[in-house]
Amino acid sequence: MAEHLGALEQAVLLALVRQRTELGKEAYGRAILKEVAHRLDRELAAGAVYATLDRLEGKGLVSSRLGPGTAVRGGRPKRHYAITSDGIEALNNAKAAIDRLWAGLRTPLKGTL
Amino acid sequence: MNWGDVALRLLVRARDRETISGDLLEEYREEVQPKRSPMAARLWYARQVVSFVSPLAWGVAIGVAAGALQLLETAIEPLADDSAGGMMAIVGSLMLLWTLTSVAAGRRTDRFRAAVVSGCLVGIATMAVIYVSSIVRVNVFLDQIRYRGDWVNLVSRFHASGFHSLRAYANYEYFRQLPILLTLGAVAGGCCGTVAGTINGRVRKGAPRTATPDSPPR
Repeated sequence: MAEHLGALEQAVLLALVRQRTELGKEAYGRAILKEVAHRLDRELAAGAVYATLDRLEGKGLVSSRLGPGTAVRGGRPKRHYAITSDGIEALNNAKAAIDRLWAGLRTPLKGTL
Repeated sequence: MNWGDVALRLLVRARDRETISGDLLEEYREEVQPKRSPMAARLWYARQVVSFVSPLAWGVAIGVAAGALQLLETAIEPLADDSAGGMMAIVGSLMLLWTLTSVAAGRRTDRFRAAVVSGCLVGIATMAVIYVSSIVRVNVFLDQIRYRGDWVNLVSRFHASGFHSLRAYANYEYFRQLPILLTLGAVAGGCCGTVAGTINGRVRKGAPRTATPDSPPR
């Protein structure tokens, strides 16, 4: 069965797909949080993004590995995330579902019914 | 290590303790501290830590507060009946807190279902803790509260029950109420979650949207 993705899940996966952002080089928690908040144009609490990453990893849509820390982090390690092939497939399915919903409609929609 | 770091380490999985606290420390030192007042920076950190608290933990915290209040009230005035106004205030406060918790959970995930599930969880957890505090209250204050006006029915049922001990009968009666209480918590919490999900939907609808940015952050 196709994996249903929530809006925040899609935003996080898309952040991991983008290569031309800073994230493309270093997709760790803080960078993902900033990227998603920027794309959604709203402030996000850290717990929201980490819970989403955790859930996506549980579903097998992202994988993670530990990387070295830096001085500004007090030497604490970074957890780097990457999208898996299942994650790519889930994103494609989500996009196809949205496209099907919008098929045949002229955008932007105008007026009220 | 400050209190926020200690709380954060208690709230996240052992696997993520170092990495998440490192991420927050990095953001705090590079972005928050230079741009905000010390108080605002501390508040930012506290907000981030609070965002890791699960609905279940909020439910337990709300239940502990309500249960402690109940025990305190009984200790001060053991024979005072629960007034209708007082009960309404307590139920209203609980439902308000459950709704707020569900609003936060729904906003975290952008999902209506998350708000409803959160409402159910927080409701069940709160009622479970209140149940425990009620059992404590009955067993600690039994000699006083058995003369309360709202205990008349229970005491008369005890006399007709064949039980030899009022304490045992009161515990039995309370134990029988547990499934009803938990179901009530789940249903009322679910209603609060539905309200919270609807509020989130309306806020999202009314929020001004800017064009999707193409440039990377910073």
